[in-house]
This record gives sequence, C-alpha cells and structure tokens, in this order.
Amino acid sequence: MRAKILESERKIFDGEITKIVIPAAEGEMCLLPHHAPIITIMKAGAIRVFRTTSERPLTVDVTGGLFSFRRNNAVCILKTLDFPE
Amino acid sequence: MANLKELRNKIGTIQSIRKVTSAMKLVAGVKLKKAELRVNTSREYAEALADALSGLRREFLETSYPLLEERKRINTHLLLVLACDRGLCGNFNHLVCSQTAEIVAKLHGQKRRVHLLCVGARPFELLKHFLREDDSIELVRDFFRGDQLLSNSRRLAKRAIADFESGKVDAVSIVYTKFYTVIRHDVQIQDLIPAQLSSKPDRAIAIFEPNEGEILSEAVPHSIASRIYQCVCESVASEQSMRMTSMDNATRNAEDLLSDLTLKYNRLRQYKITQELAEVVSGAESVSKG
Repeated sequence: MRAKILESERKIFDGEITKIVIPAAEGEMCLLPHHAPIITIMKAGAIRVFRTTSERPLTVDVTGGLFSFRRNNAVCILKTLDFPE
Repeated sequence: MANLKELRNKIGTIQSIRKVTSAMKLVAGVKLKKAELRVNTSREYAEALADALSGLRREFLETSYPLLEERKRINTHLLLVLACDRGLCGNFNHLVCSQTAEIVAKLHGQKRRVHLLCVGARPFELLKHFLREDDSIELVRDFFRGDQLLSNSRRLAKRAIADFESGKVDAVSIVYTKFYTVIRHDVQIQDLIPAQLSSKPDRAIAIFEPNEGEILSEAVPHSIASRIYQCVCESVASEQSMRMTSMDNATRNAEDLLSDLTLKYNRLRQYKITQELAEVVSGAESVSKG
C-alpha cells in the first residue's frame, strides 16, 4: 500500500509502506493493507510509518490533521503549527 | 545633430537601466523557482484534502453544516482579489483588475452588493473606481511582507469565515491568476464559501471517526484556508513569471537601444575627426600656397 504525508508547504513522505500507525481521534490506530475505507481526525501525536516489516519505523510528530484511507492509499493531511488563534 | 556629450550620457543611462532590469530578471527567476515549488506542494495538499472530503457529500450527511449551506438570498458578496503591491510585472495587475471589474458588474446585475478585499495595493487603487456607493473596498496590508504567506492566508480564511458566519456576507469567492507555465497563466474566479465538496462523490467510504459532523467542522475551514493558500501561491508564481518575462523584454530593448546609440556615437565621432582633418589639411594647403 501507498502512503503520503503532506504539509501545506512540503511533502514529508510519499512511498510504499507495509503498515502505518496514526494518532486517531479515538486512540491510536494501526492500518494494514486492504483496510476498509476510513476518514478520521488526527490529534497531536506521532505517525509511525513502516516501510518494511523488519525496519524501524519512520516517526513523524504531528499537531493534528486529517487522515483518509481508500483503495490502499493512506493520506495524512497535517495541520501546521503556526495557525494563529 | 545631437552632440557627442549628449549621446554619451544617454548611453550611460541606458547601460545602468539595463543592469537594473537584468538584475531584476535574475531575482524574479529565483523567486519563480521557489514559487513554482510552492505551487506544486500547495496544489497537492489542497487536492488531497478535497479528495479526502469527497467521501462526505451533502446528500449523505445527516448533519447540516453552516459553511456548506447555500443561502437563499445573497445580499453581499465578498470577493478576495489577489494581485501584488508592486509594478514592473507586465500587465499582471491590470488583468486581475479588469477581470474583477467584469465580475463586479455581473454581481451588480444580480442585485448583489460587493465587498472587495484586496491583497496588494495595486488592485486597491485601480478597483475603487468600479464600485457603487453601497459597495465597499478594503486593503489587506503587508500581506507579502516577511514571507508569511501561509499564516497570512489562514488569517484571510479566518476573516472570510467569520464574516460569513456573522452574516455580514452571504458568499465568498476569490479572484486570482492561475499559473500553468512561465508564459501561460490566466485569471480565474473560484467560489470558496459556501464550500463545494467534490463533484464526484465517493460512496465507498464507510467509516467516519469520530463522526461526520466533527470531521466537517475540522476539515472544511482547513480546506478553505488551504485553497486560499494555493491561490496565493499560484498568484505569486504568475506575478514572478510575468515580472521575469517583462524584465527580459526590457533588457533586450535596452540592448537594442544601446547598439543603435553606440553606432550613432561612433559615426558622429568619426565624422568629427574627418572634418577636423579636412580643416587641418585645407589650412595647411592655403598656408603653403601663400
């Protein structure tokens, strides 16, 4: 399956993966290939991307965002820090 | 005939102008590279967001959400106009303004009041004259200062959303210059609020966490902001590419002028030398005869 991690100003990750763990709104969620389609909000936490089963995961700290998974495509749309409140 | 000193001064002036324009061309080229990268990432981001949201279509939603709701009567239409603060970029500002003026006329035809929010001092100056008495215009100051495009775009989005939610305006659109290539861009209008979810809905999505309403209230303002940011990036890239081409033209013009003037200068100098020689020779001849 494929994963993309996008920020407004840069692309953090784009490539083939075997597993992804995201900080979903209702707790951490692990997605494997052929997961059912899903959209969820991410809260602050870490995304862990496993490119191969043996390798250590790539970790990306996030403040929040949106996650969608469809047709074996995982897309993490991150919020950036400097949102003026 | 112009004298030598005048010509020399003219050549000097044009040489320094050529230096300035070619430097500006280089600077615009570098900025364009940066802006192009930004256009690509912001496009991808906005598209990914729109794509993620395409699973949520109004027909399938159980909850209503104010930013998606089309109002029955539109009294005031907010137009965000993206151009720039500076000149020397060909007809970039003019194209945006003439297109905006047409849109404003169309909105007047639909009996809507127009509120213009101008990014960039140029459209602010130019568009004042196209408005009616009950319209209003406002300038977003210092938008391009300090390279804070992302946070400034978000501030703009917040402002537009707040105006819509408070009922000050009933619809929001944005006028910007879409960037295709260095020589191709055109002015477009895009509706921002009420937000459009994708035109091709995807029914495949089954799971929403925590629920549709919360995803909407999180993602829709975010998608409006990211769309504004994308438009800003496109507009900046178009501006820089237009500045680059117009400065390139200016440099080439200066070179043409320079070669013309140098030719003239040399001819005049040669003419003067020949004349003086003739005078000396004829003087010497008359002395030797006498």
